[in-house]
Amino acid sequence: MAEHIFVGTSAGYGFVVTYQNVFKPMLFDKLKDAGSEPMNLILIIPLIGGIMLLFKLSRKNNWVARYPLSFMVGVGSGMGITNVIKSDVISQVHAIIFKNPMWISGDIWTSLFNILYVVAVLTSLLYFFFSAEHKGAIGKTARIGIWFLMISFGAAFGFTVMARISLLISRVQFLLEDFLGISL
Amino acid sequence: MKKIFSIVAMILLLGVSAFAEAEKSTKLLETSRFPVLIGLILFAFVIIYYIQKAKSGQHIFIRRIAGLNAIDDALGRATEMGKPVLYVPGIGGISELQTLASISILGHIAKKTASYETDLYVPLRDPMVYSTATEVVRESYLGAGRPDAFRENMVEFLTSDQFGYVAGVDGYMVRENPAANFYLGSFWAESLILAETGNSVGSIQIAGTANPSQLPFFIASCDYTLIGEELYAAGAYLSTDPKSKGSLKGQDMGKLAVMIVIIVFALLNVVRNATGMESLSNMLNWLDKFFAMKG
Amino acid sequence: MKRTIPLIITFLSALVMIIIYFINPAHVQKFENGVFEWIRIIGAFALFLGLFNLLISHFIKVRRNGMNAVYSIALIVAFFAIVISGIFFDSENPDGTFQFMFNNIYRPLSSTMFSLLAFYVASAAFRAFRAKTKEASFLLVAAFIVMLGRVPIGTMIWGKIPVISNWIMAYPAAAAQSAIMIGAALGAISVSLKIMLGIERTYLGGEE
Repeated sequence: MAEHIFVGTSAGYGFVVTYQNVFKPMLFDKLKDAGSEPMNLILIIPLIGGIMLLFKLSRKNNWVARYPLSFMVGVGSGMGITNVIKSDVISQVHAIIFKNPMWISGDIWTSLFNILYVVAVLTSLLYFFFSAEHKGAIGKTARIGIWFLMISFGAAFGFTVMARISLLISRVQFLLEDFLGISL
Repeated sequence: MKKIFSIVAMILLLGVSAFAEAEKSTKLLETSRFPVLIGLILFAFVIIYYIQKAKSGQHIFIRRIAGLNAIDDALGRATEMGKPVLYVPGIGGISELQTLASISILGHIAKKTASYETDLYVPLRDPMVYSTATEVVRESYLGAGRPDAFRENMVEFLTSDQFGYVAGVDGYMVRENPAANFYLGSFWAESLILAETGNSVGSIQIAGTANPSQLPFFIASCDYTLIGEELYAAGAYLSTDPKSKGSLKGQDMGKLAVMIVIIVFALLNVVRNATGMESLSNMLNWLDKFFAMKG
Repeated sequence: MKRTIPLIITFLSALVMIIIYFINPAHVQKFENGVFEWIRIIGAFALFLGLFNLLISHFIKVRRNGMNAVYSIALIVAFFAIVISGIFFDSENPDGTFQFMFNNIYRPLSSTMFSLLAFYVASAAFRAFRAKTKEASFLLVAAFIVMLGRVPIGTMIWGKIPVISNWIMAYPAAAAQSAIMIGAALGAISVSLKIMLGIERTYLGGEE
């Protein structure tokens, strides 16, 4: 029962928020001002696009909705491709090769760790190779890559578990000490 | 078709540059972003090259990934048990690439549930993804020759609220006890709530996401997890289109290029630090700045 | 026609977004913001589709089954109560229905769901700590050390534990994380290209 009320309330809440943040300020208010700001009339295009989207409900003419849909997908993939190249490839590779001095003479441990870092990146990347069978040398290297991946998942997991549990402990402490007056 | 594409692309380029020409006062191009252009050209080239190669009929070897067997096993078990399959395509919008990858996988899974006569349920958080997923599932049932088995309420919009959505999906799991749960797409804080609830009702669970922060949770609570790129690759694996295989090979070549760059620069760094060569040092410093991409 | 034009739209809108990425934001900021606004407006219309589906499916449930109908009625009533009070009445009024529902239903239930996370984290940790394979034992050991490294007891067991924990985070874990991101990026680039070129067109649905 609570689940249904929650779903209903949150769906309704979402609709109200969309109305207040999108429909009213971005569309209705701007179209109302179109007399003084004729450029606002261009918003008729997304308005039509939105209405075309509603053709999804029609079994016969639902192809009409493909036009606005393809616009959204196109914008998303165009923006996505440049964003991932920047933040997930160039920035990562930049950090790996320029923030990592590799060999520091006199400091053998840090040097070894730096090398290990690069080895971990390369072996983990090799795990994601699809066009080579994981056999022989590639298979063995990819296996080391899996170990590194597992270590990274473990570390991230341990980190989050501790963060969540300390949050929980502080809430319990608050409940007991400040709220109920029980000192531990 | 190709001609139309290229002509329109040319016109657009001209239009944009003419428009930019009009405001010459500030610089036209964002030069600090050029490294992205280099990456874009490189990756687009290798991927399209191998897609073309595959299209021309050349055989391209792609190893089978364990995740695919896991998907088949999960579907098989759901069929044996006569229980439904739950498919959650993440909580991202339609313009997110992970969602699009997931929608493509959904198409293949729906084809299988259609031919196995297994019940499928796809709850959605994003209305755009909802309307798209409905059509994809309907098409899959049609394609599998079972349009009669498709019901509108297989694909359902719940609410656009993150936790309201989770509550709805959790409720479904507890009531219907699905035999197999798929969580493929973009996930955030809800990943663990979904996966743990699924675990508590005893479903086989297959997850996949490219959000690194949620991967550990899926790994801990699911039977199989597609890690990062494997999620994008799964759609290509399931597809019978040879072009998809070509694109996977292209991705590999892209990674190979990245690996070579890393190795070369790591070695150059070692040489610089060992010899203190000035010209090398200057070059590396320049490249460091160029790829730092700070305007 | 029903397919070609949408594919052209996809290609062009992606191309335009890529081109303007390389143009000085001073020239294209306005245009970019305009595109985002369009996307949000169109996306907002999509909400009608979703809500239509949600309400219809629950109306059908109300008509079909007597026993469980009450749940669907609760959902429908909750939905309309908050929508009507939020749009047609003053949603800012602290005594109004909208604020009442927001504070007494939506907020507490949202935070309940969120706080469940702590318990789920604990149960997932329990599950993760039954290492089944060699690979899983790497996960387990790393998680264990990092957890110990973040509480006083770790230092008590052995002074070096926090150091090792930090080392794991800074070297093998960070490196593997980078690899995941680079790999996933290649996957995303490929999907994006396939969408632009019309190879990946599942999202359009339909065969014509």
